[in-house]
Amino acid sequence: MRIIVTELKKLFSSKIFILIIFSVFVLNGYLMFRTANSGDAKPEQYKEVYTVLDEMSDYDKLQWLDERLTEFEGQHSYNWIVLSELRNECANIVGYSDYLDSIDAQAKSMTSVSIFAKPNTFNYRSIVKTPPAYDNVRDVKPIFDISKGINLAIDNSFTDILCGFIVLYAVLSLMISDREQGMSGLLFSLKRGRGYLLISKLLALAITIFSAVILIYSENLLISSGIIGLGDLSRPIQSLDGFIGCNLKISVMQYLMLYILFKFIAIFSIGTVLSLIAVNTKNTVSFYGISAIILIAEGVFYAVIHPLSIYSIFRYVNIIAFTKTNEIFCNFKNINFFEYPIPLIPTSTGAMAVIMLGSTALSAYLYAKKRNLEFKKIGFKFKTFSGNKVHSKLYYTLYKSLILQKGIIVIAVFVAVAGFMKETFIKKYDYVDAYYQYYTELLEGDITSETDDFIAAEAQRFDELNARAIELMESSDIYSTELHEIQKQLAPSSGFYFLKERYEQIKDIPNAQIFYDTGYKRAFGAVGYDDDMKYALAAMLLCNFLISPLIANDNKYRMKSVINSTASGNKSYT
Amino acid sequence: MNRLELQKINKHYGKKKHALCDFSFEFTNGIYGLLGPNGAGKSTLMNIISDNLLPDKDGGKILWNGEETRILKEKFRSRLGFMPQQQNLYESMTAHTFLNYIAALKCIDRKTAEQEIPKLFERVELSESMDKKMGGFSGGMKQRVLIASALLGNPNLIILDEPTAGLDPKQRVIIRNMVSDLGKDKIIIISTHIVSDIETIAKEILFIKEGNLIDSGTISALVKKVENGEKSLESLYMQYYGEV
Repeated sequence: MRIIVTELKKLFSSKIFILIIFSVFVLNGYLMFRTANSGDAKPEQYKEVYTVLDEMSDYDKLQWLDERLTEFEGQHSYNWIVLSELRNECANIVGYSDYLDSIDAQAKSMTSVSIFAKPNTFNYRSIVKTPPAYDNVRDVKPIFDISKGINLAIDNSFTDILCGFIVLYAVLSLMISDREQGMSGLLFSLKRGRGYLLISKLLALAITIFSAVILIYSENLLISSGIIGLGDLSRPIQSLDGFIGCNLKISVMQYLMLYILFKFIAIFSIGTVLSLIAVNTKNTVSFYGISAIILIAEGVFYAVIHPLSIYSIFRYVNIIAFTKTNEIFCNFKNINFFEYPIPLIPTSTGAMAVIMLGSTALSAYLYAKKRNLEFKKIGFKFKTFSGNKVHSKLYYTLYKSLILQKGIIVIAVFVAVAGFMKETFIKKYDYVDAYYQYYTELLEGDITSETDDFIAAEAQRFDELNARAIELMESSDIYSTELHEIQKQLAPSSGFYFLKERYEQIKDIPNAQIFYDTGYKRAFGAVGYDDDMKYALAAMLLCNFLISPLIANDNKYRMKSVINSTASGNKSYT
Repeated sequence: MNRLELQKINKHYGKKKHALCDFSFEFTNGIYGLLGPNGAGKSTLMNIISDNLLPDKDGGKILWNGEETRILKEKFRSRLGFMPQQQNLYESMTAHTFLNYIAALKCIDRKTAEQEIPKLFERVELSESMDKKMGGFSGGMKQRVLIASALLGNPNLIILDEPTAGLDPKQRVIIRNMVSDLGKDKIIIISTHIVSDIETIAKEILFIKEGNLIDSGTISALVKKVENGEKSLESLYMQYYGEV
């Protein structure tokens, strides 16, 4: 225990680690708020409907939602998307017993259809196994309540990615820093300085990961609770949107505990694999390289292999798939194991345990066997990176920052987050911008006489339509079909006038072109969005994370006095 | 009486560098000085004894009280106190926490460690700094922390690799006297190239050159071998390793 406590002290005494935890906490909170507000409907709009539905029975809720959806928008203030989404959710809950019956019926019909009826196939075996898997939830009565909040808290891949960076730094610090600091010689000579020490380090890693998972997912739950609400936590898990097919007889609260435990085990499994790599690599570059190859390969297997494929074992028994907790529990699934169906939940759990214990045992065994105490920090074999060749000052500064100070992790964090945000980016619907995009793409390219003619003709058409609309409105015939039709035709004019304004600005500039430029406007702050500020803040954070440790380290090793005394001096170095 | 036997130890680094060649010696209680210039093979020998390096395959064996250390493993390491040749320590850790950590790794129970550690700090004259972070320690202070860590748990075999490097003359005398006191019931092997550190306390001196044991014996026997000049260990050293 003393060794574990000391390993934890060593880890948490690192200012960079504390900074990483703090940054992850802040970034995760920001991304949670952003995700909560990025959909077509705002959290307040959900809350508004939930508040109205609160005291009703589930059947009354469904009826009320149906009534609102059939009304004209002007007759109520609710968001149609919210109503529609909640209506579907409520219908699923009200029809839960029908859903279970449909599983039985589907199994019967599918086993009787010739294509599935071959008894020695995965499909047949899987279908036969499915209805009995739901036997223990037949008496479950799902209750309609706020799902959106829980789903927001537990369905965020960015939280997993951010946790991954805590794990990466913790593994580097626990497994490699002793070697980097030249302490292995002393530690290896001690009675418990080998396998026992490695197990203690892994237990310290487990405690760190568990704390990080609790911290970050509690943050998610707290934010979700504050923004939307979590509903009654004692209701069955099947009440949660997307979990109607879950065959576990547990409450939402029990699922949250299971979720956090499973998440911890999944992330710790990744930690043990990374530790195994760290124990067996000769330098940090090899560690980064091998870890990246394994994680990318696992990610590709997960993304490319079809869930029903004969190779689905590689999709599900996969350290990336383990982190997809909801996918494992939301439905009863079988893995195609050489045409035999094996249930996903016990398989994933068993595989995680095997990976975790296997990696731990192997790491401890190999660590105990290790003798080559000197750890090569960098082992580039390429001629261009030969240690004998003198490189530029910039090269060595980058080398210190990215490799020695592990700034490459910081860059990887930002790239991963940027990639994630790009993948999940949903452009807010703006009908004016949609028409603007339509016109800019129509006229894309150089401004020609055809462009001039088109703009003039379109402007004239809208002027005429406007004039007619005013005429009709003045005649008090505001409900006429013609006015309604004109208003529809005038809708694109909002986007067109923006295009015309742009056209007027650039038509006399040589080689000027028309193109859809909203992205540039957003990025550089030319429109009301604050995207440019977000990018600037992210860039500042990135620079800060890269430069601060570099300067701090030079100060720590009193390198500044050496650098200042060189011909380049402090100015050139800076 | 403790006994450490090295039997025909060989160690190669790569194919060309033969760091230790058929090195054999038997140590019993007392202080042994390992003398040789940089690159002679002293640290390799120290690391092999301390289980930080393996000899070549079929490259000899090490026996501790008649049993092979390769088989004894933890049992052997529990009797070992090793001070490596290094200047790095956990910068953000206090010296006291560091020794507590080493005590845990040496399986010394909490109570014994609590009693022993302050005494060790007193012996190496670091009592006032033991609760300070080691990041602010001078090279000499770090050396003394490492010496204290090697002595922790009252080991039977103590290996000190360049223990006086970075110490001022006063500290060197303190360490020398401390080692001298300890050498009665333990085997202490000190690797150094500072002859004066060991010439007054060592029971025997071993001269190593290019991985070979070129000479060994008591100081009185060795100094008789000096061919020219003053009959001292330093003269013999110069005789074996060449004059400046």
